[in-house]
Amino acid sequence: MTALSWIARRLAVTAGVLAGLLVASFLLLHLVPGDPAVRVAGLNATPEQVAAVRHELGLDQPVHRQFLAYAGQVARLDFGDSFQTGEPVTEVIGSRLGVTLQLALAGIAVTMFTGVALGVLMGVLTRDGRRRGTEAAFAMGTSLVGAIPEYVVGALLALVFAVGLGWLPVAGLADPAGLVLPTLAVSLAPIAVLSRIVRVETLTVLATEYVRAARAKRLSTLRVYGVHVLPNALTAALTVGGLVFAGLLGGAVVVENVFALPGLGSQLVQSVSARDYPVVQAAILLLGVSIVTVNTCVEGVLKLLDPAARTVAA
Amino acid sequence: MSARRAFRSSPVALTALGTLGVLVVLAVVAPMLWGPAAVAVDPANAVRGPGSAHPLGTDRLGRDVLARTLVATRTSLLLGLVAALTATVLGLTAGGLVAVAGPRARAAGLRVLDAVLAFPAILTAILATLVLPSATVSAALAVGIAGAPGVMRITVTLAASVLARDYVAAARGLGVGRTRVLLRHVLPGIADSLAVSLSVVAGVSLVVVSSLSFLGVGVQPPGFDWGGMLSQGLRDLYVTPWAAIAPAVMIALAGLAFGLFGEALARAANPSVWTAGRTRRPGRTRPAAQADPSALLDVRGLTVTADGTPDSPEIVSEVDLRVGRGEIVGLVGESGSGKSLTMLALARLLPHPVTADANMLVLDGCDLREPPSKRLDGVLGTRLALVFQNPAASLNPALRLGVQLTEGPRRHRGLSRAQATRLALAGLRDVRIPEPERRLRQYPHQLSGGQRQRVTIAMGLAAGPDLLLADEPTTALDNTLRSGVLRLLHEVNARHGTAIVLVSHDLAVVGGLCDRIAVMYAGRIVEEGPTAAVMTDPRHPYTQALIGSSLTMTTPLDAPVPALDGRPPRPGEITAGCAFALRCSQAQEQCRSVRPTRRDLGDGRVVACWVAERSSA
Repeated sequence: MTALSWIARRLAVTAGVLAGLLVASFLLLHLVPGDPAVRVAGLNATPEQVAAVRHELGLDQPVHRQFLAYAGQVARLDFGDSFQTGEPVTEVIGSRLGVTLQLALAGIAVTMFTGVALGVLMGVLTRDGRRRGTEAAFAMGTSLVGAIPEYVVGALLALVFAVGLGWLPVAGLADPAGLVLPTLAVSLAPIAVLSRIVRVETLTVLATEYVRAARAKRLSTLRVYGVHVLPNALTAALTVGGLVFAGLLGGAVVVENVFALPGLGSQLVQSVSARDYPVVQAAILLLGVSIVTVNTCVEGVLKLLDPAARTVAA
Repeated sequence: MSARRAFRSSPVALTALGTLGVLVVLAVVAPMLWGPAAVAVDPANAVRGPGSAHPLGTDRLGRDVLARTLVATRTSLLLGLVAALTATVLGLTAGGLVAVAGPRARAAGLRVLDAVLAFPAILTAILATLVLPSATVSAALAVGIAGAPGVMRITVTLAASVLARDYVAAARGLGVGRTRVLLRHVLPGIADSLAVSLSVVAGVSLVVVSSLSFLGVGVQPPGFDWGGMLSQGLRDLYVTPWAAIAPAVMIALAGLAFGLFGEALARAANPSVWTAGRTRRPGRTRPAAQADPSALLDVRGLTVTADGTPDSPEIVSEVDLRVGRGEIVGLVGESGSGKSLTMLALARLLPHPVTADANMLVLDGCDLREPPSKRLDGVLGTRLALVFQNPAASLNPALRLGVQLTEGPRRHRGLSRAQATRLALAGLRDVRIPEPERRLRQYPHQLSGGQRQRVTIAMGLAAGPDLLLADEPTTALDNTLRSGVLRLLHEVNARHGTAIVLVSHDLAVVGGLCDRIAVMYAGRIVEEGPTAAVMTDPRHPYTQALIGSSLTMTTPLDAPVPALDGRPPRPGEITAGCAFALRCSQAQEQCRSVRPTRRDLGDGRVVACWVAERSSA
């Protein structure tokens, strides 16, 4: 498959997923039990007021008309106003985006660096069944860290470092140090998962004949691991990293709440609790698009890194 | 070790099981014992630290934190289980249907599934709470819906392996319906693996339900679970940290117990991956004899054991091998006879914990037995080169050929990049690779199989070695490419005077190229001598059988092909006598009781066989 046809196929799949997302976010309002017009107008509204709201929202139109109108609005990035505050939805979301991006980028950087380094190190140390004790301790430790939910980790971190030791702020983003504990809280479990995967991948690469051939050349240890092993062990790490990053964009919901960070996740939860549908719809669309974009980029990078996929065989 | 015993003997499994047991007991009895205490409001004593009346303090309404934490076990566990069950039922049904669907429907289903899986489960769960009517159990159902795609993916993967089995394929071929295949073959086939993942799903579900409550969209007051308690406790973290710590610890404990239990189940189901072993290395105490100065390589008493312990089985036993400068020696034997391990032992590349020991291991005056050092690396890196069996596998797929051909000489001969590249170009021309400049910029997959083997030979020769160890260099190649590679090895030997040890199971390959032949059986060299002499007048019955069973152009087509019955003994099975005695048609009493010693027959011929010795005497 040439690069162009790959991109074309990939774009087609992405477009399909995005269309699905659009339909899902549209249906959300209709799947919710009860009459949306009543919810928007309020329970104390008169039937005339409800009818007016219904007409205003276009809910008296046939469903396919409503969907086309919705799609048109989305295309113009017009999501209407928040039920809660009356602000335009784009402003509500826009003001929250920065925090989420900061946390996600810091989290993925820490996760990838630590997870890959730890995984390769453990793979090298425990190759061919060496150091069974270290291996058992690593398996135990990563299960422990991987099994504890991130908000419990966050709460415990806050307790130790903010309340107990007083080293770091417990909540908010008044100074950049406020990002340290949330980043740790979102990274620890992914590091555990990633390092396990990278270790197994490293072991697989270490058992290959080309690594034995590299050892036969008596290269320096650093060169064997850095040049011959690492690039081949990275594929799985990148795939997992893409999923982790996608998870961080939307899934940092809980940690944002623990540390009272004004991010997209906490906004989403707040809007879900308040049944603020326009904000929920926009947030879902934004997160969905980001996740699809991240995954497509990761696949592209993997293709670029794989020489067999990048070049046409002679 | 049986799965059940493996499980019982694992402390982790028992701890996890015990913790789960305690949690279940708590879930049953705690609401009966402390139910009233957990909801008793006492505003006068709100937000207090631990005291005699309240061991873990009180919350904002003055309720006892300890009682609430224990009582919440029932709600938290139940909701977690309901969520796991929902996820299982939905995921199993949908996954099973996708698995037995037609190819197009399956491909489409998997694509949708992967897109859904990329969406964080917690978000799906939050959105599902919007759609479901507000009730305590809704949180669990929402988490179940969010977890279903994960179970579905596992189901499809597991089912695919069952469907690929012959008898299932046969049933489908006979027109058995999809539902029946699903119920009769797929479900029973994946039940075990599914049980393992379900324990993990239960742990994850419990944690996610708690997250929902923590966020305020799960269990609604007056109901309470650990997640909701934690979120309330966090607000008073500075005053009464126990109100947060207690539920946090319970969530972590329960999540961990389910997770570790699942892992222990998985280990018990597949114990081979986890069995431990001990390793110990013996000191090298045997005295070194005087090396033969005329030999390039002088090996005496090389023994390779499985893990270096005194009672560990010997895979290679007391191998003596001498290779002269510029000589080509063939090492022949069945697969498993220890040829390859002998080569790896010479190059000090044995995989851990396989251990080698020798009375003498000298390459051109250098003792190869010394501990790893830069000097030893230099000797092995420049004097000795290896060519492995599978040319496709011995080139790194991620690196350009230029890098792989130049890194050795650059390290060991201190060459610059340009010098090393010139050397690599010359090397590629030597092995008749067309357009060498272009090849240097290419990756291994861009070469044909024959070219790859030529490149690995060039890679081995790049450092200008005196000795090339070639381990079955033609076995993975087409017949048409074989003679080319063999001719190449011959040229290398003739042009550069490089000595070669050629390992092969194929007498025809070895016979055409080698000056001398050593025949290996069950880890020992049983016969050795000049090629022509061994090929025309084999003395050891095993060599005779090998030569007898190889077909040539002149083998009469109507004569039965002699074949060797049975198999060689495995390491550890070898008894006191000759290892070949069980398969030998000429074996005598002595052969079964006393191991034959190596006997010099003159003219450079050596044989280890009582029968051959007697007939030559």
